[in-house]
Amino acid sequence: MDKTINRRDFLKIAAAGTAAIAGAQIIQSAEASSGGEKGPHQWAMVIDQSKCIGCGHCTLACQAHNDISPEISWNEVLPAGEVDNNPVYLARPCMQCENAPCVEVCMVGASYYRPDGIVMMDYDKCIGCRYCEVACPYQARSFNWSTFDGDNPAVPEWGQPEVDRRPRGVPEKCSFCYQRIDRGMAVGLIPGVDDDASPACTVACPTNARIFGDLNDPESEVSKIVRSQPTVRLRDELGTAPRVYYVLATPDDFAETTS
Amino acid sequence: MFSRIERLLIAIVFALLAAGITLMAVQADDGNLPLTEGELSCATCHAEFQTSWMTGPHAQATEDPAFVEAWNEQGNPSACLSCHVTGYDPETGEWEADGITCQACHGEIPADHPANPMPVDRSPVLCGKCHGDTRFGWQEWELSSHYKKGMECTVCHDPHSASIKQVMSPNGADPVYGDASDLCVNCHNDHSASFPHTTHSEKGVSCVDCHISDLETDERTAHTVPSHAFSASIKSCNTCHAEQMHQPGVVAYPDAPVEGTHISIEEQNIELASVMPEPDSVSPVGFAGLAALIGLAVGMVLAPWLEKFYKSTVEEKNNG
Repeated sequence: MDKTINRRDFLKIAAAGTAAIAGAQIIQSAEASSGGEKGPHQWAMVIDQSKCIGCGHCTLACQAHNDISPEISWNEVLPAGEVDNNPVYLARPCMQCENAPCVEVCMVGASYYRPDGIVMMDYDKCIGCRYCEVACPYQARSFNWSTFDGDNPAVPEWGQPEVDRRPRGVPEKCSFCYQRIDRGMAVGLIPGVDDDASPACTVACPTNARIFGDLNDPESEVSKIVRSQPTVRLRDELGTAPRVYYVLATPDDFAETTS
Repeated sequence: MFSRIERLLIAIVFALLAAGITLMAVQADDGNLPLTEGELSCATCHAEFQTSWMTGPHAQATEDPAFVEAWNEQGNPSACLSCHVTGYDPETGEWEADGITCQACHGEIPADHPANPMPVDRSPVLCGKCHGDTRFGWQEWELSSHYKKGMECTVCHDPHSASIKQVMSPNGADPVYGDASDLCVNCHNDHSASFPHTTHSEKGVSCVDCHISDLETDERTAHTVPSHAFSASIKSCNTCHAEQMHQPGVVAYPDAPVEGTHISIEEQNIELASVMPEPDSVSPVGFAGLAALIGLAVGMVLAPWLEKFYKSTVEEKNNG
């Protein structure tokens, strides 16, 4: 009787074993979740809330250049309260997190990190389980419930489509206009400096509230702002390490208009 | 029965045939077509831009009947052509294409174009090359807050259709005003909350009715545009409220039709002239009083000379 394992002991051993495996997996996934292989460029965006007037031109340009159905949006501009009675807006693209929950939960590897930090979607691999949509703390993903086969009302006034339409049944999201970055860099343009290599929203913004650039380049506009000004990242406490930085509006920013 | 070698030969022939056809098909479908002049037009890939451009004034710049008539009347001056055709050469008097075409703004197509984007200057400087003359209201535009804040023409204007952007709400809501004012409230959304509750809004007046003067003038002369200063002036008020001026509290025409907002400048001036208050007639006593005052002044000024003259006359008599 002494050598046989009773039920309680078995459960203890099983629990310890499971914990050990789970721990190893967590360590493993933590190593894997550091954004993958890092390339020479790390794209980032700064959104200056003191300049954003909530016009939504970024959303329209996004819709045209990425051929997005009017039913969904990759880029929302949300009212975000007031500073000294002046309305303030929160423009929300995909945060392109360094530790992206959407990539972590994707079981088929359809969401992945590009070496330049952009969180990309392989729409052919995607099985439409929508885990990524649930996992995203920023609600940056939206699901294609139906095939978008009509006219895009934002075309051609706000731009021309540069990518294929996504099929029905996959979630889609902002890609920092990777197609503009890649095509622009292929001919020697600098994303963030040359309009043709920068995300459509940054080009369309009438107040230049969006600044795009390379965090690895200390002379880029985004690097300078992140270095010199107080910025915040949304839900930083979750450890997602977003690549979208916000310059918050202060009462000083409205001193000129209120007086 | 074929021998093994014969079978192999037949197989090789079929294989070569299949490979050859496939190679031809693939080459014909090569996605990376080089753009050579004449073979492919811009519209091959940019049909949407082409369609919107065709309907707009840029495409019609040379064929516009109003232009053709005025140009012929003035003896076909070459100065007009720098902005009414594409690629005008003053030395030969020839031009590359009618209308303001893609190349007029984008320049020459880069040799590796699908890879290399078409160049374009997005600043108002490019538009200003033709639309910068004072006749186009550039000075007013420079006074506007829009210009001072560094806004580009393309924020409101679609450069391809060369007209105001068809307004779309970013969140898909129906346009509120159905005119260019919907474009205003995209950015001036602080007003969009309060303005719909005003009497102006209820009567159908929108932003542009007051803030863009001369908007609805049909017979606008060539080369003039509605004021781009975007400031509402007393003239804007007078368009509807001319009769109420200086009569606070009196509503002249409470049931006046809203169509009254869209009247031409000529009509406006006539209307303004007709409501100029007639001066009250002055009574004869008033005229007499005024004459008396003038007489008094004249008398006071001339008094010394009169006295001198009187004295000299009297002395002459006395002496004589």
